[in-house]
Amino acid sequence: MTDLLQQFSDASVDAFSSRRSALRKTGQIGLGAALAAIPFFRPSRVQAQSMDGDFGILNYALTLEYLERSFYRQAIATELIPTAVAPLFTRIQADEAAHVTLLAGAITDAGGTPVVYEDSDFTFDSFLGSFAAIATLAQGLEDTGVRAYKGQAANIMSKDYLTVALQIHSVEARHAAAIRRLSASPAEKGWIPLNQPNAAGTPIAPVYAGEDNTQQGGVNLTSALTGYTAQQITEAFDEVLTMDQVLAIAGPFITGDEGDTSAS
Amino acid sequence: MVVQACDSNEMDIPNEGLLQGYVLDPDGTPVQGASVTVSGANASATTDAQGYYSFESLPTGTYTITVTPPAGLLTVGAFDTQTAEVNIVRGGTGYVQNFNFGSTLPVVTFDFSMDTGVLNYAYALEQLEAAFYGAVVADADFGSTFNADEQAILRDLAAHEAIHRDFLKAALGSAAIPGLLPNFQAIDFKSRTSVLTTARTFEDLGVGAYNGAGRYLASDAFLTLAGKIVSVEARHASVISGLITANAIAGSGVINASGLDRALAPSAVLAAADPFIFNTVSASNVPS
Repeated sequence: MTDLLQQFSDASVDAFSSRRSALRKTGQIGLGAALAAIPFFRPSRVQAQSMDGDFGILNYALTLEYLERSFYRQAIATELIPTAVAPLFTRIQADEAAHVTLLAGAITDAGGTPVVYEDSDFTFDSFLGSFAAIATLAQGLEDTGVRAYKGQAANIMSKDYLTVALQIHSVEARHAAAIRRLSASPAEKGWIPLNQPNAAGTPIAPVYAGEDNTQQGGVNLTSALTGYTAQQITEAFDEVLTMDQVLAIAGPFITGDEGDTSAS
Repeated sequence: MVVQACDSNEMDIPNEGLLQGYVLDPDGTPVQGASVTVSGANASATTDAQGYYSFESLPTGTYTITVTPPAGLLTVGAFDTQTAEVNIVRGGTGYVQNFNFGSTLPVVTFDFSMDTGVLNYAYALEQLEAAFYGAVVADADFGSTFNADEQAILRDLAAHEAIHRDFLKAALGSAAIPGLLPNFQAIDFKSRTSVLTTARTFEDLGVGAYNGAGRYLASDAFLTLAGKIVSVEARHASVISGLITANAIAGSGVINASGLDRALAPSAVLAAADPFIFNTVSASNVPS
């Protein structure tokens, strides 16, 4: 057994605890904690907020939800969605809209300033020409969303915000699985085998960077566990994306300035 | 019961006595078809639908009786054979010997004040899910109960949950709880509807359990790890829900009007899981 698993088995979990988790445990909201800057958020007031701990993370999440909501609105407006799956798109659009309302409200309630985006701030043109293209980007955005929330969970200091973030995170994963299953060629599983789809020229390949990881807790599970293929192991664990990775994926779709029009 | 007066003198009473009793499972459900044997008397009986057995005229004396669970009683795991010593006396109301299978099963408590307690809670749920899908894919009629797409999905789920189980067991090491004994008696593994609705229940429950427990993990590493697992559970829940109802991603009412999945308290999760686990499981020291 490797060292890290041994550490697990020794239950010496405090060794893993950070200041963040200590704060989380006591329920404090650490507004002063530094976060990585958010490079693509254009207005300075969002950049300033990115330093404000949970507010920064919540606005990061809110931006992604605005992006998803706008994508589904624009996708549905193309009338290219087949009738058979239209209820799925309508339902997901409603979930993303509810997430926008919830996160903006949470930030406001806590005394922060939520970011504001209009649909016109997002451009998805190259992905709105066919249902196949729509489904491809929907998959990419949902799988990105799952990885984005997962990547920030441990950075959230408020236990209550953490719980809400987890409740959104799993809904994004439900969306992702359902959307993945729409893909007929190639047929996709609801979960992520290795780092697929990663075929050359696949426009959403960057979404799956690192999803073929077989190491958990510092242990290579392909050798530590017996009876499973590497693909099965990668399917069983979703991976995180950092803010920088997420922003590199999402940034190109954000073509307008945040907060430059009246709030909707 | 009517007790009748008896005119016979003592010498008329045969030198025999009655042995009877009930055989129950850990949840108090009668076990039908259990084999009851009496050593030395060359006698055996089988329990009826009420779990009842009786030997009406055993010669007086001391015997060891052995109860063996019926083959196929449990889809997963087995109860131990049980024995008891009885002393049969002449006449009277007889000797009553009841049996409870699994009465020695480990009682498990998850201490939520420690990360190992939270991880063991996850390990217990993964054990349940892994055992369930293992039984699903092992059923002799699996290939005819489900179409090819469904079979591939269920095989994937069996592998994923077993990986989660094995990983958590290895990570917990000596702190891991024992293996639990699942109770799948209410599930018809030859029914597509029974299997899929149970799968949806388990997956939605697992998602709500992880979502609710994340706040109790002190370690950032464990929190992220739980996140890596819960989103896969959510993917499972979505796909299974879609197999049951076109375009569905969750069971009815699981996602609320704010677009939020459930975050369930440990007590609620364990109450929902209890019918599927013979062991007694509970949570302690759950922070308020």
